[in-house]
Amino acid sequence: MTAPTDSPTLPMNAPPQAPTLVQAHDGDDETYYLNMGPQHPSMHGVLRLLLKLRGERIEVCDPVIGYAHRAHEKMAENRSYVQFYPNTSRIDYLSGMIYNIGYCQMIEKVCSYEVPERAVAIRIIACELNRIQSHLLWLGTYLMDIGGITPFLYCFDDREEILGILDRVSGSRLTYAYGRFGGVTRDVDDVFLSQATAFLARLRGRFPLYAKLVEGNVIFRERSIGVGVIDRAMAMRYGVTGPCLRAAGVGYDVRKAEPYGGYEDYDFDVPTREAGDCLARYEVRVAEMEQSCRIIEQAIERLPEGAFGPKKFIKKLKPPVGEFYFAVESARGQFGMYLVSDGKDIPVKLKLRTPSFANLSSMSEALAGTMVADTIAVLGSIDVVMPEIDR
Amino acid sequence: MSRAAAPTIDLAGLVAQTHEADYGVDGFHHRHTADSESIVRLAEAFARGGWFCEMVTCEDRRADERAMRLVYTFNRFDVADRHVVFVMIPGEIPGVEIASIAGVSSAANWLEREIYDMYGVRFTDHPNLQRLLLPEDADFHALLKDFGRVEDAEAGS
Amino acid sequence: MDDVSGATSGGSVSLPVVTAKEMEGQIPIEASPFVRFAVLEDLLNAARANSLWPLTFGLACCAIEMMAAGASKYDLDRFGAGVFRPSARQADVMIFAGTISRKMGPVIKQLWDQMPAPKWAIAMGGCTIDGGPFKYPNQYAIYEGADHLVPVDVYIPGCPPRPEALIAGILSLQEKIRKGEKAVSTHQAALVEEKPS
Repeated sequence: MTAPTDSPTLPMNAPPQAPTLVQAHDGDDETYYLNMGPQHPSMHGVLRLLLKLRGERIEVCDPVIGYAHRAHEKMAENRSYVQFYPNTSRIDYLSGMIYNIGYCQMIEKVCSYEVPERAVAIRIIACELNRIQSHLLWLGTYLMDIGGITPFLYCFDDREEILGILDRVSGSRLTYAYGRFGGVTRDVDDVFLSQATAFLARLRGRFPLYAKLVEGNVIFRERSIGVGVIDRAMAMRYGVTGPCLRAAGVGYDVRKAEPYGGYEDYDFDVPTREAGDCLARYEVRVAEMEQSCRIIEQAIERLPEGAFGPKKFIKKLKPPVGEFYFAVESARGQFGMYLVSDGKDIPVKLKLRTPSFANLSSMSEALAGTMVADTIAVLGSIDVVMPEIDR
Repeated sequence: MSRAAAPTIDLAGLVAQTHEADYGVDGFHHRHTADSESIVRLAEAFARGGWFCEMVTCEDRRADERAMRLVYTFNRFDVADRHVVFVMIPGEIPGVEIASIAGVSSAANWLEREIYDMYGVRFTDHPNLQRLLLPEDADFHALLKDFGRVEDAEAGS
Repeated sequence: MDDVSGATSGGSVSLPVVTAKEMEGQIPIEASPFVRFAVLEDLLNAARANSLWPLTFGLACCAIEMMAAGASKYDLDRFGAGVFRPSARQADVMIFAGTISRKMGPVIKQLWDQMPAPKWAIAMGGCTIDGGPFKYPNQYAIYEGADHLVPVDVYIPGCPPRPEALIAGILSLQEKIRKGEKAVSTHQAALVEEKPS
C-alpha cells in the first residue's frame, strides 16, 4: 500500500466534513429548498440538484456536479497517448466502444495512419452494437425512474446478449480496449457474425414487445408527453446534441454531418421528432436502435477480407504539431476531442467535449415551472452519464 | 458525398486575423485569432448567424508565452462549419480576465465556469462564476501546468 | 456434545446436537430430534448474511455491472441481497461501485454514519481498492481506495468486475458475517504497519 499524498498543496487531505445545505428561506411558507443527491434513488449517478420549490413547482434548479471528477484531462497531459488509451472507455462507459475507437480514429486522422477496410467494418459493427446497448440500458433505467420496474429486466436481458457478443471478441463487457491505432485488437470470426445476426433478429422481435409494454401505458404517457420540453432554440443556445437535439426537430448527427470511420458508405436515416418532450426523446432513441440494426446488417453483409489491424503495434506516436478537433457521434451526442500537440508523445492538452455536459446544462431551464416529480423523468430522458460530465 | 455550402459570415472588425484552415488535416473549417475585447460581439455575430457554441476551453501558455490562450469553437447543425477562435490573454493567474459570453450562449455558462475552476481565468459579467467540478473549498486550479505535476509527486506515491 | 450436523451447504449453520441421554429429564424423548441449541449470535449472523440489503451507491462504471448483477441474468436476489435501498438508514452494506472522488468524501462520511450497525462495506472494482486506472503520481481528484474512508470488508478486483465477481464478493461477505468477523482493514491501519522504523 502506498502512502496518501500529503502534499501541502492539497488541503483536501483533511478529514471530510458533512456538507452544509442551503437553509435560507424567503420568509414565505410556500418556498423551500430541497437537496436531491448526490446519492438518490434515481439511476443516474452522482448528481446533486438544488431545487428551489414553491409548493410542488420548481422555481430554480441548480445542478451541482463534480462528484465523479477523476482528472481525465490532467491524466492526458501527464500520460503518453498509449497510456491514456484505457481512460477513453471510462469517460462514458456506456458508449465505451465508441469512445475507445473514436480516440483511435482521432489519432489515426492526426497522424495519418491507414486503417484496413475490414477493420473499418468491424469497428462499425462494434460501435453500433454499443449504441444499441446504451439505448437499451437507457430505456430500462428511464422506465425504472418513472416507476415501471419490468422493462428494466427485459432490457438488461437483451443487453446481456450484446455484452456476450462483444465480450467474446474483445475480452471486456463494459470498458473496452478493442481499438488499436490502425485497426482493432482481434479479428472477428463466423461465430461473432452469426451471433450478431441472430441478435438483430431477436432485437427486432423485441421491439413490438417493448412498444406494447411501454407506449400504451397511461402513466408513462402522462409523465412523458409535454414534460421537460427542450425546443430547437433552447437546444441551440445550450449546444445540445444527440437524441435530445433530434427530438427537438434538428437532424444533426455527426455520422452524417462530418462523416468518419466509413459511415459515409452506409445507408441509414437520422430519426427526428418535433415535440422536444420526454416522449419525443424516447421515440428518437427507439428509432435509432432500428437504424443501428440496419447499419450492422449492411456491415456484416459487406465485411471484406483482409487485415484487421496494423502490421506492427504502434506504441510511440510522433504526431504533427498543432491543434486538432475530431468528433464522433456517441449514444448521447457529439463527443469531440480537442488536441494540442507539440510533436511529443504526450499531449500538451486534450479537451474532451462531452455531450452530456451541454445536455445537462439545459436541464435547469427545461425544469423551470415543472413539478418536482418531473425532475427525475426529465433527468432520465436527457440520458446523462455523470463521469462524462465531470471527467 | 459533396458538402452543401455553408453560409458565410462577415467577421470584419471582430477577429484580428483569419488563417488558412484545412478541415481534412485538423478538423477546423475556419481559423481565426481575436482580441479579448471583441469576444462578446464575435459570439453575438455567430449566434445571429445560426452557429452554436460548441466548445470553450483554455490552454496554459504561461511558460512559453506568458499568456493564457482561450479557444472557442462555433459550429452549425445544418451543415458542418467549424470556426475556431484563439484569444491570447497575457498575464498571470490570478489576473487574466475576459468578458463572459454566457449572456449570448447559455452553453458558455458552464464551459466558462469550468475554465475558471481549472485554470483560474476570470470571466467578467458571468452570472454565476463559481467552481464547477472541484470541491467548493479547493484552493488550486487543477489544469495549470505548474500544479500537480507527476515529477513533483513524493517518492513512493 | 456431539456435532452431527454433517454435510452442510454453503449457507447452513452447524449446531451441536443434544442426545436425550445428556439432557435426560429436560427434553421429552419424542422431541429430541427437533430440538437444537445454538448461540444466538450465530443465528443472528446467519439472518444478517442471508438478507443483506445494499445501499444504491453507484458512483461510476462499476455501478452498471452492479445493476447487471441485480438484473435477471445474474440475479442477486437469490442470495438475499437483491433489495437495494436508496436510504442509508435502511441499508446493511455499502457497495462502493466506482471511483471515489474527493468531493464525494463528506457525502460518504455522512452516508456511512447514517447506516445503522451492524454494517459492512464492499469495495467493488480497482478504483475502490487502490485507485485503479486513475492512480497516478500526484492524482488530486480521487481517494485511492475506499479504505481511506471506511473499514472495508471485501475487496473485489476488476475493472469493472463481472457480475459473477460481485456475487462472489457478496458470498464471501456472507461467509465473513456468519463467522462473526469484523473488518479491520483500513488504509490507516495498513500505514501504521508499514511505517519505516
